Amino acid sequence: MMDKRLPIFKVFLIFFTALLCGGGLLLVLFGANLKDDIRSKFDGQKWQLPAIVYARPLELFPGKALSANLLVKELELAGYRNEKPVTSPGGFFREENRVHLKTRNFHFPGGLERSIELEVGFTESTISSLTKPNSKEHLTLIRLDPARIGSFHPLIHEDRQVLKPEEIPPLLKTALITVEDQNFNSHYGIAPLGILRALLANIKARRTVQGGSTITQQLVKNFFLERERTFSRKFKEAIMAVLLEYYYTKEDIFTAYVNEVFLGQDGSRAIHGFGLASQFYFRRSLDDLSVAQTATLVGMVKGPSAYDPRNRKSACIARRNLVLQTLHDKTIISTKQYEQAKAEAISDVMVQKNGFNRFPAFLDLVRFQLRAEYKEEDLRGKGLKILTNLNPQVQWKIEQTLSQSPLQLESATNLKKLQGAVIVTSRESGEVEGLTGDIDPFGTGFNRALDASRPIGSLVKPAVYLSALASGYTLASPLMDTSISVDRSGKMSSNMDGSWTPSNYDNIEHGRVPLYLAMAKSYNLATVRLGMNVGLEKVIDTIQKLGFSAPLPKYPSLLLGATEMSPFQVSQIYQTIGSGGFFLPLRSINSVLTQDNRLLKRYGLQVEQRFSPALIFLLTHGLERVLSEGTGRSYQFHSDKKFFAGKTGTSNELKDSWFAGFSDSHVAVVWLGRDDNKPTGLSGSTGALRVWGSLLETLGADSESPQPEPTDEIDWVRIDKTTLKPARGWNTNTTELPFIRNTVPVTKKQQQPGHLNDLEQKTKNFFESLNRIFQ
Amino acid sequence: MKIPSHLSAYPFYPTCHLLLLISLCLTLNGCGTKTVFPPSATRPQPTSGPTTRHQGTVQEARTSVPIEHGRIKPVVLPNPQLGPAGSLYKKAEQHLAKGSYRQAELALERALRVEPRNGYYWYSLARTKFGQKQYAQARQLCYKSKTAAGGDKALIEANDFLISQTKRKIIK
Repeated sequence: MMDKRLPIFKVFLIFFTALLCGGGLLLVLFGANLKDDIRSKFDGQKWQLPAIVYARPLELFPGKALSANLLVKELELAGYRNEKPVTSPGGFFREENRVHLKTRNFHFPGGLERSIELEVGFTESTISSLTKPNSKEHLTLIRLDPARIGSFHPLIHEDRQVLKPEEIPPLLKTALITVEDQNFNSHYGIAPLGILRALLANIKARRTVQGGSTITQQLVKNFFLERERTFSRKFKEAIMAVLLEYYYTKEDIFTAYVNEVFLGQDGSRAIHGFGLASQFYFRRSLDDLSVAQTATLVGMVKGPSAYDPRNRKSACIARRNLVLQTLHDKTIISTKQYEQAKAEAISDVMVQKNGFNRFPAFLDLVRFQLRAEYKEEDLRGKGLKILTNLNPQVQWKIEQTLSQSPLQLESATNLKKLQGAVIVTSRESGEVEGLTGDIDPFGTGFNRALDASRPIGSLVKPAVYLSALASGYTLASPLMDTSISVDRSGKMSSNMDGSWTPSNYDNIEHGRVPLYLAMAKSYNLATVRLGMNVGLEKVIDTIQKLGFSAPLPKYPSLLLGATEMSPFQVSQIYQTIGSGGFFLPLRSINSVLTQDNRLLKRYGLQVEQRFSPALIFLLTHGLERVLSEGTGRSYQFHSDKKFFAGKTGTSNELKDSWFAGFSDSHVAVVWLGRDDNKPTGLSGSTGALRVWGSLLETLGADSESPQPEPTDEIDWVRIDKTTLKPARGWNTNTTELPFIRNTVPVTKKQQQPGHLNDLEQKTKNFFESLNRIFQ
Repeated sequence: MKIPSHLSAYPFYPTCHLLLLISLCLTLNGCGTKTVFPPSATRPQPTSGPTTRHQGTVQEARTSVPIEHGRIKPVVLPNPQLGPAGSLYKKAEQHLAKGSYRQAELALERALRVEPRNGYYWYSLARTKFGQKQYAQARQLCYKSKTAAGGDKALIEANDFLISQTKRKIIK
């Protein structure tokens, strides 16, 4: 019988065919599995984009109180380049008392504000002129693009500015393809010949000198996979690259690559994509980059750390020049461009640190106010643009004043652990212009402005006096500043046998005092008597109408501030007083835009009148007196032309030092204290007032605007300080007080119906005696 | 008046008395001063709302805010006090005329950031809110405008009129 065994080669053929089919099947199944991963990640939103937070836009107009130095500081905060001449948007230079700048395009809620070139002239600390440099056309009002002050990053701490295909400059595209993957437009994701070529080169050099990965493979590696150097990862990368090329266009893949590529580190923030990298390294948008700068970024793709222009200048220059050489050899750039680019310095600007949050306490407030409407992942991942009301000039002044306060407060006994919080708002709009929750302006821990609930002490008294004024009391109403005792039922007596016996700060009883003086000097006894007469319920209602919404204890001690509030809550209360009786919710945010500049939400002006202007006018006058003759008189303001009003507050044992009040333009609250709740040795007037006064004196309005005039209901009357009645002409023991019309105090005699004055009485007597004669 | 008995014998006594009285009155009138009693210190009613002193001067004939083509017709206030943000105010008025309330609102809020005490800007914002049918807020903005109006009667009256219109709308 013949041997029917198959020839060996046939066996191998069958085996090989089976292996190929099996392998192919596995490959198909593997690919099908990967396909879903690719489609799910590549379609839709590819990246988690941080929300970017901006300060208020700076408005410029002739007559504005602003110095050239401050304008330059604002421009630097906004990332403007200092260059002469100004070559593109985002540049400026200063010549003595003139600043020349070119603003950047910015999408505001009302639409796109286009870049404009202008010259700002200054006379001392005021803008004297605004002109267009070439035409000398005079401008009346210009709004600059706002400064980026921080961001809410995704947990992976990547940052990027996503570019659309049409936003990628042609030179960048050509340079990248030439340097990284010259066959990009013709291969199908992998380049076997390129891999082979790289392999041979690496074997020859006995180290890795060449990469064989295509742009597609690089994208797959960075976008989908981990950075492990294993064969399986390489295999997977190759399959995915082919699949990516199958399902997406070259343009999709290249755009994703331009936005994904890692190009450096800024602290904990990873710089991804050419869009952000051009801003980060050159403070320019991508289409403003020079040939040399484009070549620098392209060269950094191979190794952002190795070719970092900040600290590896020579390696960076060498790599850049190699890229330029390649571009020249391929006639992508001319010889002239090549020579010019080679001669260019690596960078003409300091790297702009935009990644870290410059004003962390303020950003806490922004996040808090957004939390009601946005999930945390949306804040961190959707690329929202948050336009806030932060005024950098106000914020700098707050930080400077507060950080210097321990040095200035010599009377404090425990300065080392002194902490503080300050909030400043616009008096007429309730916009939060500055906030800090730590003596250290960069402190990112406990935010005392928002979260420290502390006893407010005498800060509550304006609510007591406002309730009294609303109940018919006047600033001249006599009060008794004498000992008082309050029992559990709230009944007052002078027997000192009740459960609560308050006392004055100086332990002195001042007897009969006018209401304005009791407020100015913060007499406890008079305040308690007044508050109990007016009614605790009424006072609580006033506090709540002023803007404090949380429950309040219905104890008489509330009249002296035995309740806790945060500086932010106190700020809301004094905002209502400062704005003339209008409740204006404190707002840190102006509007929120999507990544593509659609308006999502606006936080516009909302006003609600809760107290009559006349009553608030009286109260404000009383608060002015706090500073002129009351507990705040020790602070000497440098200008007597400016308006200031406010109230000191000191808690028991000098643990908390407060001052809350307002000037022409701003409302401000200052708190000083210790986190361990130990005494600071500071009262409201020796501590917080010093910071407050120093701060408010330097803050001014954008434009001159007069103080609100007294309403038509107000009469000014000269009052005898002893009798508290209208004074006669020769009396020098007097003071002028405002009264609501028809509430001016009268004498006892004048209070009786059908009363007569002395002369009339004498005349009447004369006639009566005359009558008796004739009877 | 009873004539004393010891004088009753004098026939001209009543006339003399009368003449004496008249001359005394005339003399005293020349010497005396007119005394004005200050109003008694009665406790005023707490004002829970704003003052509207000029409400009575509003022309009753006007029954509604001038409307043209469904949009608020601009009320041209004589001599509006415009400052550095005047261009924004004018822009806002143009937007109002076209019914572009959001744009008007944005321009006016920007203007108020520059000049927070300009009563004209607040008034314009009140009209914007009226156009957006936010009548309660429009009224509050009128109150705000009035506090910044000072002695500007035209502005105060314009606000009072708009307040009355918002009240009608709210009642409806």
